[in-house]
Amino acid sequence: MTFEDVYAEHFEFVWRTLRRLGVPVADLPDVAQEVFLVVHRRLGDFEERAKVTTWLFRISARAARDRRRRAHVRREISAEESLLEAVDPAADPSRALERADDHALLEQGLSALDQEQREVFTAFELEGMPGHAIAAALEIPLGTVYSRLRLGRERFRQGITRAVARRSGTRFRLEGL
Amino acid sequence: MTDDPPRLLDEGALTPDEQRALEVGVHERPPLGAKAAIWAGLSLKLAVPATAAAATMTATVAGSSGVAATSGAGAAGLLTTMALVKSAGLGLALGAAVGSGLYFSGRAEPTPPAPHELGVEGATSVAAPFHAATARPNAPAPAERASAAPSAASTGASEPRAERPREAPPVESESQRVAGARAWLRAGDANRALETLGALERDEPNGLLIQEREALTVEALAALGRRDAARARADAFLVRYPRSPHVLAVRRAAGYAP
Repeated sequence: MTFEDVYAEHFEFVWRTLRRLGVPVADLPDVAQEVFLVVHRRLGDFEERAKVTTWLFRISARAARDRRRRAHVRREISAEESLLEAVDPAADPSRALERADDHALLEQGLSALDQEQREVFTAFELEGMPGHAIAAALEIPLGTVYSRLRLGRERFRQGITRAVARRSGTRFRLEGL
Repeated sequence: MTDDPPRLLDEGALTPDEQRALEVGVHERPPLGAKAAIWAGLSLKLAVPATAAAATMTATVAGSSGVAATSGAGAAGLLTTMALVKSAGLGLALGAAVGSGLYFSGRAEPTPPAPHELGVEGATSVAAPFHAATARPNAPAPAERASAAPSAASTGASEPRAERPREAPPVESESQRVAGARAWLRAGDANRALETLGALERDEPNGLLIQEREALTVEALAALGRRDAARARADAFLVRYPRSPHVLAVRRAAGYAP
């Protein structure tokens, strides 16, 4: 397995993993590149009996934690700038709006989780990784995977509920004008 | 055998809001061009001769012209390309911008060229593809490649492969050209952005992305210090599209108070 094989096959996996782990979109190119620099450096040590996605998940999770720690010094992107950049030339505009809204909701749900819960929750619920692979990637016992998953689910649902309540509150206020 | 609980999406016990949030997460995809742009950035980073990694690579591709091609491209060219790749990657990444989550699902991404496809002798190591990419006899130098193809999707890894005869470059779509112009602008080359936008305006005066084209044109003009032109354009934009999501950006670029 060469570096370029790993890149060609698993770039998307790394990208969406980082995204789901809360790396800001503006930082994704840099962080994805960091991940693959590590992959390039360590490919010789990678043991083929492990699944490559398990290994990539571990590297990505570390990179995401690092980036989140540094995130407070990051320049914030102003709302209008992100709107201009957000033009999706390919998407159906009506669907694009819906998906933007769904995505905002996902982010609100996930932001209720701490980073450890978020790692387990997104790997399990969104990526569909089995518990034992998550345990191996994060080097934690399977029981810990399950407990983080359980807590993560609770917080996710609470986060979604809160986000929806906030939204309908806004709507009522607007309608009341 | 697993004690894993069923996944929330499989269980079917979700509220509609939970359901749609999880589903959009499942279908997350990188924006078009991100894969190629990041690969291009990686290949530049890993090919820098001053690093230890590059020394290894030099050894493995001894006999090929990889090193000469890399340095021969010229510092300015490399820098331009790096800036372009970086900001193009960023610009495109922002295509899925914060809180808006617009995705390009289902679009084919160019894959990095494999050594055997490039026909470079000795390109067998992990590191070789980077040199292979720059060493290919027909490959334009980074600077040329960049000027010929400003969009991130066509920077670096998406060139036609060596075993196929060279084809005429595909006609870029309006969206690719807008993305290209944005990439140039973010890379600091407002002139080239403006060229791209002007050509697009000639070819598709009433394109679907007219608002984006006009907003970027205002920005590019402002970046070039052409304030009057930027204002005139901005005024026309604001009259024509008073409810555009780009109103704030246009006003700011034209120097109006928000």
